[in-house]
Amino acid sequence: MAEFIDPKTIKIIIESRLDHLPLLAKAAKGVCSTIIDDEWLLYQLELCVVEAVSNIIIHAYQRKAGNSIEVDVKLDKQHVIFKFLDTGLKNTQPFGSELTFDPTDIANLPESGRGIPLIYQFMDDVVVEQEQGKNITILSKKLS
Amino acid sequence: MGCNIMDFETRKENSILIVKPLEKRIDASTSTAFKGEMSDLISKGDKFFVLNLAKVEFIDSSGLGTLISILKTLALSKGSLALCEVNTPIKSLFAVTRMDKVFSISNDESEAKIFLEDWRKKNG
Repeated sequence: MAEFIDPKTIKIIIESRLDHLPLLAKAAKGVCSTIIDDEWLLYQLELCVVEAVSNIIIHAYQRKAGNSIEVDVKLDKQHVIFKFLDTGLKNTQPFGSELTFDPTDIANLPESGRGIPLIYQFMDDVVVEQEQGKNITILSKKLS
Repeated sequence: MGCNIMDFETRKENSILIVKPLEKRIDASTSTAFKGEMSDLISKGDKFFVLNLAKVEFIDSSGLGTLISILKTLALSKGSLALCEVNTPIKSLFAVTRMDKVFSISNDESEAKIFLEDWRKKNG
C-alpha cells in the first residue's frame, strides 16, 4: 500500500442513480485538481470514477435507485486512491479483459465493454474484493 | 433515471444535419437520452450528420458506445457521421480507444461538411 504524506481525504456517499453521477464526478475531479494540473490526467481520473460507479449502479444494483455507494478519495503529491464500497450483487464480470475490434468493420463495432479496460489502462493497480457483505473496489495511481 | 431530455441545436445545410449537443457530458447519465434523441432525428430520413461537440466536456465509455450506435445506424442507410470541435482530452480518449480510427474528427463544421460531401461522392 502506498505511503501517503500529508494526504487530502474526502468521503462521498451517493444514491445509486445514474443522474447523480455528474455530481460525484465533479466532486472527485475537484478534489484531484487541488494537486493535479494536467488536464488529461484529471480526465482519466474522472473517467475511472465514472466507469467504476456506473458499473456498480448498472451491475451491482441492477439500476435500482435507493442504494448507497461510498467513494473515498485519498491523495497526496505522489498518489491517488479511490475506494468504492457497495452492498449490491457481487461482480462477476471478467475484469481487465481487453476489447478487440476492427475499426473498419463498422457493422461489428462493439458498443459496450470499454469501461473496465479503460480503468485498467489508466490506473496502476485495481483491487476488487468482498468484505463483510460489501463489495470493495480500490483503484490506485502513482502521480509521479 | 438517466432518461432526461438532452438539449441540442440542429440546422440543415445541403442535406447535412448539423447537431450541437448543449449538454456538457455524454456519459452514463445522459447517453440513453442522447441516443433516443439522435434515433428520432435519424428516423426522419436524414443520412448525413455533423456532430459538433464544442459544448461537450466529458465522454465516458457509454458515450462512446452511443456514438458507435449512431454511426452503425447511419451506415445501414449508407449515411455517415462526422465529429467536430472535439476538446483535447476527448481527442486523447478517442486515440487510446482507437475511436480516432472509426470516426472522422474535424476541426470545425466546415471541414466536417467537406468530409461528408467527399464521403458521399465516393460511396454514393
